[in-house]
Amino acid sequence: MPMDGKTQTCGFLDQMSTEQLYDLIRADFESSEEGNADLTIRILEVIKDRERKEHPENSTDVKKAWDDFQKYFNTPDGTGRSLYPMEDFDLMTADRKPKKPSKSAFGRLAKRLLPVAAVVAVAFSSMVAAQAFGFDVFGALARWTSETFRFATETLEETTNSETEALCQTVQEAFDRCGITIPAPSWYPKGTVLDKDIDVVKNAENTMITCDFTCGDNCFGILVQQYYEDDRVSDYTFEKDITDAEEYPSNGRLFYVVSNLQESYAIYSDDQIVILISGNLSSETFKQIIDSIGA
Amino acid sequence: MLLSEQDAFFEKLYDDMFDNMKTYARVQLHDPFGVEEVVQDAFYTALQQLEKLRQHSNPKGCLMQILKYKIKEYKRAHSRALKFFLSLDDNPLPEARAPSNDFPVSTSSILKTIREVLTTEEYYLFHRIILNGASHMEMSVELGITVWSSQKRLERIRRKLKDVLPGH
Repeated sequence: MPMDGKTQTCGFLDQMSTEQLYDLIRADFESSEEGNADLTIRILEVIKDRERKEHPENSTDVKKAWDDFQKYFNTPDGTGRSLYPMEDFDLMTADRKPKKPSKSAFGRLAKRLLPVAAVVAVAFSSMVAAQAFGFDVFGALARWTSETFRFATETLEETTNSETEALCQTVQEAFDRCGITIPAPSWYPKGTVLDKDIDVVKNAENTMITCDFTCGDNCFGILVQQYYEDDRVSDYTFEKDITDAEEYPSNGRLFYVVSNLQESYAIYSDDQIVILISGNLSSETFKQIIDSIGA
Repeated sequence: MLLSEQDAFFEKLYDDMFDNMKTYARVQLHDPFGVEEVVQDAFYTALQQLEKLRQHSNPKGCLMQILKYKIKEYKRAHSRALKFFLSLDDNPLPEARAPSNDFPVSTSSILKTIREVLTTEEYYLFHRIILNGASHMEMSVELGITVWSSQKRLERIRRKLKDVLPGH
């Protein structure tokens, strides 16, 4: 396995189709957040390399573009002008990481990574290794990496009050409507509420459902991507040398759980389904949620 | 920073990023001239704040943000034009009330007035940009002028038409 974190991430992107990469770019543009420019640029470079190999005749003539720039744009009569003026844009604060990530960052980000979810499980080992080498791949999956969120110790109290029962029912009904073949979790930490409406996106190959939750100062999300009968999640096996992920079997499913000081991730995949749970809960709490997903 | 260092910095940034930015714009827009225009305009905006860009912690990321803004502005400008086009009534416009000048009251006479008021070169530019939807970049290449010259000419045309068509 390659040891360079950035090579790992490119490998992960290499597994996606060009159309899926275009979807990521479109989602990045449509997002109201500033986005992860480094990841966006990396995606664009993968597209560029691919297009150069497949259609070398369409390659951009950057030298000509530079000459055109000097001839038509960088001229004395253009000083202080712009074809598309930008109001209220402060160059010095552009592309800064937000100090207080939004609590619904997971939902928006998950939506942006819609095509990624199909392969995120299969490339999970690469992503973990990439993270270990300092390339913030998981920063692209969950944006709320902020010291303002405390890594709270949730009680392991069984939550059977009516509010949680209503929450479980709401999520299960959403799963049922979308044809998700696995049960929804039947346990959430006390005080968990939906942060916004459950998001459902359907395309020709699959349905993706995204649930954003808050629990006091914490937030987490559950993403489930269900492929239709004749479609399959790509057939890959996980490599054995995952150093940071814990294997967690539960109800016949093998989850991989990764934790650090600020967030945890749990992921499971089979031929037809991908489940991704992410947020700043403890790994123990994640496991309780996982265990509540029936067989 | 010496001018040559700044130039080298900008040229390298251009070389590294132009293709990526063009791909990004192409995915959002469908007009190849529009794509080139927003990318070049993004670089030009960056060039005019080059010292700030050089000090930024992530110049490439900053450039991408500039591009996003440019694409949004491009889309807004085209949406406005489309909205205006869709709102046009097929019926003649109502008569203006007791103006001292004889303003035209139908769309065909508006165009007639425009033809009469503008010079041949002005009408050509007006026709290409406003009626054909050409970009300033296209007109620059076509006429051998800078994009700013094309922009300024259109602004002058707009002022001229406002004088003779104040109701519109």
